[in-house]
Amino acid sequence: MKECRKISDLLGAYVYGDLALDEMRRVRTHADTCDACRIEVEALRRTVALVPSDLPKLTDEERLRVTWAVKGAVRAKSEASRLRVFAFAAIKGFAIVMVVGSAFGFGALYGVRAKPAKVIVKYVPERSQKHVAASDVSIPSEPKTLYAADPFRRPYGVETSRSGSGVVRRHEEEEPDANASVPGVQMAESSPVGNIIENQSAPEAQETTAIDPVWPALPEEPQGEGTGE
Amino acid sequence: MPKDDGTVLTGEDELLISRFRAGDAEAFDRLMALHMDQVFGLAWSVMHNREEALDAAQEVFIKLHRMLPKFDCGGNLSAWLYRVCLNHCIDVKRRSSSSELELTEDEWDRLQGGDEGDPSWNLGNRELRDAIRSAVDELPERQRFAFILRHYQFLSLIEIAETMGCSVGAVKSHLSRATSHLRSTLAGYVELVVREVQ
Repeated sequence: MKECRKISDLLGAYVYGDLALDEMRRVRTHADTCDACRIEVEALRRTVALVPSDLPKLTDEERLRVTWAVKGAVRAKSEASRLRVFAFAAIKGFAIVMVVGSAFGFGALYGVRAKPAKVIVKYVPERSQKHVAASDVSIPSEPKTLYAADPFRRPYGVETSRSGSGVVRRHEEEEPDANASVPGVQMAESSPVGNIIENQSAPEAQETTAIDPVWPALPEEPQGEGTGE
Repeated sequence: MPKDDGTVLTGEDELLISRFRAGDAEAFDRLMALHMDQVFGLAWSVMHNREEALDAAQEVFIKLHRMLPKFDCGGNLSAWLYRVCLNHCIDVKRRSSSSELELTEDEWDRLQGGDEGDPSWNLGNRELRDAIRSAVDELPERQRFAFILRHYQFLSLIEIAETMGCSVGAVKSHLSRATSHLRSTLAGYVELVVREVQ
């Protein structure tokens, strides 16, 4: 009986002929001496023979159907993965643009205001080369200070005003006459107007760059050529 | 015994796989054509439904296409296909177990492929045929797969072990219990034979 239990696990493979030679011989030897095992082996053999082993075959139509279904699924999957890669690249590029743009925007908005640049304003009118008589220049009693503390000040000669409708208008001043007096500028006698150089500094410095009062003597103007008439 | 039914040789599988990896798309078509009958047959023997078997074959080959670039040529492609097919069939059966339909005999005949090509199934004895199908379906899962792979797919014990992920000894045990269970279930049909032996 002990051998019957050991052999019972081999009987399935035995009826299919799948055991090794020594195992086949062992089962056959035992079945020759054991009626129960011999009957069992024969019953299993008949049972296996009773179950048909044929399977339904694929028709040509079904074969094509499976083939095209697989191809379609594979193609759809590859296109989906390609689209995913493209979308990822687009998102990545957009993120880079946003980061770089934000960095420049912050720099433009806050970086310059936090540390104003040193501004040097030079105003040299063309007609400044003309000789200016000392009598045309009014000399203020006290020299005024010119400085440009606000680097965002409008350009010289341009003013803007906001109308009621919200439109910003520009008013350009006429170019100052070279012979006119420059208010607040200390002028030297018989010196050409112009060459005003303002060296920007903090308001508390209260420095004024005045035109050098010591000026070489100019030759006298010929008589009768003042108006050109 | 196993592989004597025209099954693809492993060397041919390796050649087709290497061609596919080199960019030859037709190699996969050839690979699919060579293994389609096996996969469909295994799926049908588990599912007993022609449409579900076709769907299972389709899923198996889609997975094969995805896995083929990483597939180890040293392995057994047939065993891998059987394993994937069995796992898919298990999933499908578990999902549809609650909504399983009872088929009429005519539907059963039609799903088996009708009268064409299946002379063994056309025994003229529907009672016996239904009894066999019920007996196979009633087997525990591991025993049923061992029996199906051996009886319908003609795999060797080693291939069955590789497919099922167990030892050869376990396959022998599953196979013996499956045949013993079938013998008990189909005792009425084999009783006459046993008496004759006695």
